[in-house]
Amino acid sequence: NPIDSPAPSKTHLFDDDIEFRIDGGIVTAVDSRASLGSFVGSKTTQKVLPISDNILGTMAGGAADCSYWIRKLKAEIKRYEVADGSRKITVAQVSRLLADYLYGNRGADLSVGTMIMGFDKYGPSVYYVDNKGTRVAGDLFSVGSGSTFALGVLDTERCEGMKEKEAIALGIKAIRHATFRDAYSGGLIAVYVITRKGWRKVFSEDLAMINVNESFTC
Amino acid sequence: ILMGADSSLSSSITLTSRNVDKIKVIANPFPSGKNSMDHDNMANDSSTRHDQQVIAIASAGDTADSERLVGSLSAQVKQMEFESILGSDVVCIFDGMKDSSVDSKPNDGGTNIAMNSLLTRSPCLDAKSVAFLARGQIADALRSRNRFNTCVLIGGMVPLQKRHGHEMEGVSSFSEHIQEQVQATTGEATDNKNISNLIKSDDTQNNPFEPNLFWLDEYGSLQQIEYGAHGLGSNFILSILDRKYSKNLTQEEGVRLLEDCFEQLRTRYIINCPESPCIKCIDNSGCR
Repeated sequence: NPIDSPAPSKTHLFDDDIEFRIDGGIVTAVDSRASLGSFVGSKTTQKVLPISDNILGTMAGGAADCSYWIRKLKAEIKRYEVADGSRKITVAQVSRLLADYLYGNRGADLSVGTMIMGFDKYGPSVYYVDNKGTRVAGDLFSVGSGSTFALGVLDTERCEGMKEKEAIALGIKAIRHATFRDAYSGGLIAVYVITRKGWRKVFSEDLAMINVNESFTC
Repeated sequence: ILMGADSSLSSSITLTSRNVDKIKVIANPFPSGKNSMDHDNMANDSSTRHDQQVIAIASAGDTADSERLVGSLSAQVKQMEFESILGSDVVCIFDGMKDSSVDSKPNDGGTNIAMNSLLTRSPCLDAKSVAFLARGQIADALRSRNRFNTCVLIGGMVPLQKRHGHEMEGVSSFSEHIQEQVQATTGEATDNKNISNLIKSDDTQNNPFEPNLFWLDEYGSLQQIEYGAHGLGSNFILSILDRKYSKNLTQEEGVRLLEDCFEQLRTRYIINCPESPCIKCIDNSGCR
C-alpha cells in the first residue's frame, strides 16, 4: 500500500527501488510500473535517472515530482561542473542540494522518495532523500510501496563482502519478489551498477515473461 | 552530562536507517579528542579551557527539522567563535591571547593580566545561550508556516556564576567589561588587587564549570533539568530516572542507568530498535 494516498489526478509511481553498497560499488534495482490509482499508466517507466557520469538518482513516490526535481538537480550539477571544472561534485553535495530544495517546499505536499547514489572521490555513497527534507546516508535502502517485500529478501540474503555478480542476482531476486506481491510494482526490472568508472546498466528483464514456477526455486 | 539515544530512523513501518546519530556536537574545542587541560602551556590552553566548551544536542522527532535546527544553531555558535577571534575591533585590541607578538610566558605580569582578564569573559556561546537561542527559533517557527517538529535536549558545561567580593562579578555589562580590560592592560603592576582576585577566582574552584541540561519541546518550552527524556519512549524512561537518579552518580553508574533505561525500552516499547543505544558523555575534556 502506498504511504501517501494520492489525489486521483496525480500519476504516482508506487513502485519499488532498492539499492545497496558492496565493496567497490553500488548496485541498484528498480521496477518500471507507473500507476494512476488502479490503472497502470506505463510499464516502461525509467525510474533510474542519471545525474552525472557517476551519480544516479532513483524515483519513487510521485512521478512528476521526482522527475522534475531530479532533472532540476541535474541542471544545477551541470552548471556547477561547468563553472568549476576542476572539481567534480560529490554525492554528499548533490544530495544536500536536493534535500534543501525539498525542505523548502515541504508545505507543498510533494511526494518524493529518492536515493542519490554515486562514486566520488570519497568512495561509494548512497543517500536517501525524502520529500520532507530528510537526508540519510546508508548502505542499504529500499523505497516505495513494495519496499517491505523487497527488504525481507534483501536483509535475509545479504552478506558481507558480496561480489558484484552476487549482488546483482540478489537485487533481481528482491525486485521480483516485490513485484510478485505488490500490486503497484511490475513491468520491467532494471539493474544498474556504479563503480569507480561510472554507472552502467547491467540487466533488464520483462517481468511478465518470467515463468513463475521456475524463478522462485533458487 | 550523559546523553543516550537510539539510532533508528523511519517514516512509516520500515526502518529507513539503523545508524543515525541523534546526538550532535555543535561546538567542540577538542576535535581530536585530546584532553587539553594542560597547565604548562597556559597561553594556548587556557583560552580553550575558559572560552568554548562542548555543546551537544540530542534530538527526537522529525529528522529533517532537527537537522535544520541543529545546523542553524551550529552555524551561530561557529559565527560567534569566529567573531571572537576576528570580529569587532574592541575585542581585537585586547585580545592578547591570539596575538602572536605578545609574550606569553606566565612570568610576565603585564601580559598575564591581559590574558587573565579575558579568561573571565567568554565571548563564545555556551549551552545556556544556545538553549535560549533554540527556544526563540522554535517559537518563531511555530508561529509561521513552517514549524520545527522536533524536541531537543541541549547539554554542555556552563561557566559558574562567580560571586566574589567586589567588581569581579561573573558576567557584567559590556562597558564594565571594557573598563576592566583597559585597566588590566594599562594598569600593569599597580593593580595588584585585580590580579589576586582573578587568580583567586581560578583557584577556588578547580572546575569553574557546571553541567547544564536543557529540555526544549516542539512548542518552544524551555526548562533547565537534572535529567529528562524526549520521544515516544520517554514515559518509560522518566520513571526509571526519577527512581534511580541522584546528583552523586559516577560516570559508570550513570552509563549503567542509561543502559537500564534502554533495556526497559527493549522490553516494553513496541518499536524495536535493533542497534544498541549511543551514549555520549560531555564534560570539561570534551565529548566521548
